[in-house]
Amino acid sequence: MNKRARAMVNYLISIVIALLLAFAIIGALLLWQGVDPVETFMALFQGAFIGKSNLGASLLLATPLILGGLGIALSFRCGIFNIGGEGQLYLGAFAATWLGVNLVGLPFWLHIPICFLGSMIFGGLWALIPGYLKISKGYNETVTSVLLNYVGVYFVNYALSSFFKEPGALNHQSPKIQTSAMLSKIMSGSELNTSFLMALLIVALFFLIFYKTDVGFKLRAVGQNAEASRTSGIHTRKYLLLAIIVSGALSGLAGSAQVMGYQHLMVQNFSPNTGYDIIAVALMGNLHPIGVLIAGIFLGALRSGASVMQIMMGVPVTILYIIQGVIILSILGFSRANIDFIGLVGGLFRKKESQSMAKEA
Amino acid sequence: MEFLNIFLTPDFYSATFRLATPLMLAALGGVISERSGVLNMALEGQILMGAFFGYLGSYLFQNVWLGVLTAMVGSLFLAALHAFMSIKVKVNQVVSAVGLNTLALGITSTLFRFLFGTDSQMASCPGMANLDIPVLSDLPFVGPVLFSQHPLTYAAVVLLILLNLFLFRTSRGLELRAAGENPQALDVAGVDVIRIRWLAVLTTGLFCGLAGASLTLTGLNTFYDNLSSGRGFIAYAAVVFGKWTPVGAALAAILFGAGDALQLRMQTIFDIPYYFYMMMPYLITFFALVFFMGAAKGPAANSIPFEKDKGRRRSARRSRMGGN
Amino acid sequence: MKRKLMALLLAGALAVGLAACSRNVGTEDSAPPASSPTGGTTETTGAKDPSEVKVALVCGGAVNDGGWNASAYEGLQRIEETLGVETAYTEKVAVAEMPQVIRTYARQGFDLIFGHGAEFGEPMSTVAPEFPDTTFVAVNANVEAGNLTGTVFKFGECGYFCGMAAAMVSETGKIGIIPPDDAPNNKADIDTYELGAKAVNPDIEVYTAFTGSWDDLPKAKEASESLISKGCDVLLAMGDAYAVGVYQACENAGIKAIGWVSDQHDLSDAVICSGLQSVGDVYVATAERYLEGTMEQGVQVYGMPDGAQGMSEFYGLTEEQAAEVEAAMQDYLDGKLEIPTLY
Repeated sequence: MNKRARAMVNYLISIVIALLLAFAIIGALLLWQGVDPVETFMALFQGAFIGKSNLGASLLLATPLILGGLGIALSFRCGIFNIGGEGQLYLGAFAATWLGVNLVGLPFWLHIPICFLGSMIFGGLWALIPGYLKISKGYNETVTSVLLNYVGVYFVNYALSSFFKEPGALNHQSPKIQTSAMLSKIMSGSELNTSFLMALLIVALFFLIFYKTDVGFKLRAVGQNAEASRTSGIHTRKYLLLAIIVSGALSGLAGSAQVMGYQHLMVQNFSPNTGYDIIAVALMGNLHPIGVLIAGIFLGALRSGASVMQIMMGVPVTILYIIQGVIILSILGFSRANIDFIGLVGGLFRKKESQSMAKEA
Repeated sequence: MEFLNIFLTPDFYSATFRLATPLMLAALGGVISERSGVLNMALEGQILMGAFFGYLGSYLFQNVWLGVLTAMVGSLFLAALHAFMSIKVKVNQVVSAVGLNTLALGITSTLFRFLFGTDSQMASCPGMANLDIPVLSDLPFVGPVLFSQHPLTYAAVVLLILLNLFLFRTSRGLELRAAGENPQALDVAGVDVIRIRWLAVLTTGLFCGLAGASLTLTGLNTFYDNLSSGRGFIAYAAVVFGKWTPVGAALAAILFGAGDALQLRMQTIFDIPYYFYMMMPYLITFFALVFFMGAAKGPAANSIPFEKDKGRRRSARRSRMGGN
Repeated sequence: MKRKLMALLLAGALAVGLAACSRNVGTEDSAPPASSPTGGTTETTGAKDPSEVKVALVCGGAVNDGGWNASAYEGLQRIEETLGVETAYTEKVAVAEMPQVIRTYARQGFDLIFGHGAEFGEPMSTVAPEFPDTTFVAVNANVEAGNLTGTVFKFGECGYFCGMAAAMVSETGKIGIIPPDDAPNNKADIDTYELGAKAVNPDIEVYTAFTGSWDDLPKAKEASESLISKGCDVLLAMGDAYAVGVYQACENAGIKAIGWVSDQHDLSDAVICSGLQSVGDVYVATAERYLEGTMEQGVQVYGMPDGAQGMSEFYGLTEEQAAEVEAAMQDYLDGKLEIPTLY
């Protein structure tokens, strides 16, 4: 078995152990409460994957997480800790909704790209503020982007309560977007729409660009060692700016995909905490596009499964946060600790050999 | 004119200190951890743990001081996890914090449901009253502002002074700062860097426990899901804003508290959409940061796991950037 | 370099285009639910056997918030106890998850599904046509379709009488109100609170401090402190969980408070009376009508005339003052007093 495959298998095993650990902790909690853990997990699984509606809901919830998670992965890879996904997502969704409502009479093949583009520009610009401050002035971007989250969300909520409010609605909400800006559904009995396909395509594109092109190479170089890449002639600042703008643009898409995909109008707090969830997704996915895809679908499935679980078992949805936290920490821990599971298991049979293998690893 | 009157009433200043107390306690904790070289964005989760376990302890033992103790134990648990992940397993410290914050939200709101059910009636626990300092609290203006606060506000001030003395006037403090600036040199000098970092991160937990207790046990006397609502992130901002010094962090926390106290008072004067008032403390902090503070440079070895006998390897930098 | 960037942009545009191009023109995504052929079926189905009926509640917030969502949960429990039907609930459902949760209940054979809040209007409009045999009720939303009913309160009624009570009790001539936000339903009560107060004392000053959240307790406590420092001596707490924060501040300052939604005198002695919104009654009434098969089409408006809103007992008012408020309430019911309500 070559080294890479071995590392891969070890990584997969660590994920399985992380899952088992999370479910063991939750199982103990449930037993304490007198709820059957096996039945609960069955309900969770059923709610996540069984049936078109549940599967569709899982993928639907995964879509913004994948899009935003990719952006976060890119910026973190480049050493910029953009925590501002929440604000970028809201502003992106706001731009798309505004264009979706106010551009009348466009054909859908023009209207939809315009809305998406608008959301990417707004999200990107909102990310550019902390990005610029970081790159040219050295301000700590985690702090500025967190502060800007609040400003962005309150601004959008203000817009929805005033100049962009649907008259007569009981809630503060925008008018409905034009039919030509709505994405079409791709799975009956659920709200799953073409934005999921778009997310898949963007994952593939991201993968190709990041690993197979010159731009990607330079982005990775900048991320691994900014100083070294500067001395080797890479225009570091430009690539860092590119990374943060793309990161914001993807967060913006994560917002607009929800409005154009199925909400069709924007309510205040339309997507609470998604901007922070995408950080978790990026990290669970090890900042790798394929990892982000899997982590996004996993978290979407967990969300969708948890609501069904509460319906069937009466277990509070809040345990989901425990599952999520334990999984992030244990995946992280195992992948960092580099435990050689294959070697460990092999050791049960051939003690001597395993010792030498562990040394190798 | 009415606007200026806000600044002439002692009430504005005492509200500022009240609002700043949890931020200040958590930010001071953050300073300790980051000065020792462990990035700590898990303040939010630790405050939440402190808030819940403080409430739980005070409710179970019917004693507010035992509540403060359990608050510290609760957030110490999370701090220990952060220390284990960051120092022992050497994972990316931002990631560890994100995981821990989520975990804290899960633990507190699930236990809250399991233990207190879904009654609409919220059970209240014993809380602490304001402590008037004899004589001083009778002083005009200064009395109500500085000497008629709840005990944890005084604790925050005392801890600020102690921490400042500790960091900059004792050899142990010097060691702690060295652990965050140049751990290799410290190691060569025969000091246990790992031990210092462990102690620092655990101390942060104790501070955050107090911060959490100051939310639930000083008059509110009850708990609710996600009660910390982002205060930990503001405290983290205060650490950076204050350039990793106790006084700076405390001032940043007070600035934010003042912004919040101000917007709540301005609401009764100017009739503008309330969203802008909500934004105000964040905007004030943002602009203060951008215009007055300049670039911040943290401890050199902050967020870089310490690896004995390996020198300042580039790989350490890589792990800081995320991924592996 | 430039070419690479161009390629990047093009690739991005391609991805965006895919979402657009795979769109089948003419799918049912925007079909107005009102055109559903099931219109009217719910009126004529006749009485149902309670043991075969399942009722579900979906909340955006937490059912232990001691306010808006707790009142729905209480309504659901009363439905189970008094009508003997099976019930279930889901709390903390984000806007993104609403359609799935509602569908899951419908598919599991729940017959009557409540969405608790204006934000359920849209998702229910989407899902309702898919399940013509299920009845959907969106509370506080003005939506209607064949099997979807919206219920709203006559927002503004309670605010008026709470304002009257506040003005009577106030000694400083300044009263305050602490709402979470300025959504139209809250705004109606905020406005009538001032009107009611001015009806008693034309010189009274009314101050508002928004908290921006339904459940940030520490923030609500501070908002109260700010109004107290302004000289207010009666505060109306208009939030969910955070009312406790307001009452704590009032107790400390030795001033009076007014409760909201439910009688909150048992939470704090500072509460002199509460504006009641019997969300629970609406739930039970709706479920009863459903069982009897007498549910009506269209948005259902609940208010003081049908006992769904009103005032609690008066704890801190003199008998004359209480009588005066009650007289005003009677005038309103008799149509002698006009209050600008929403609906």
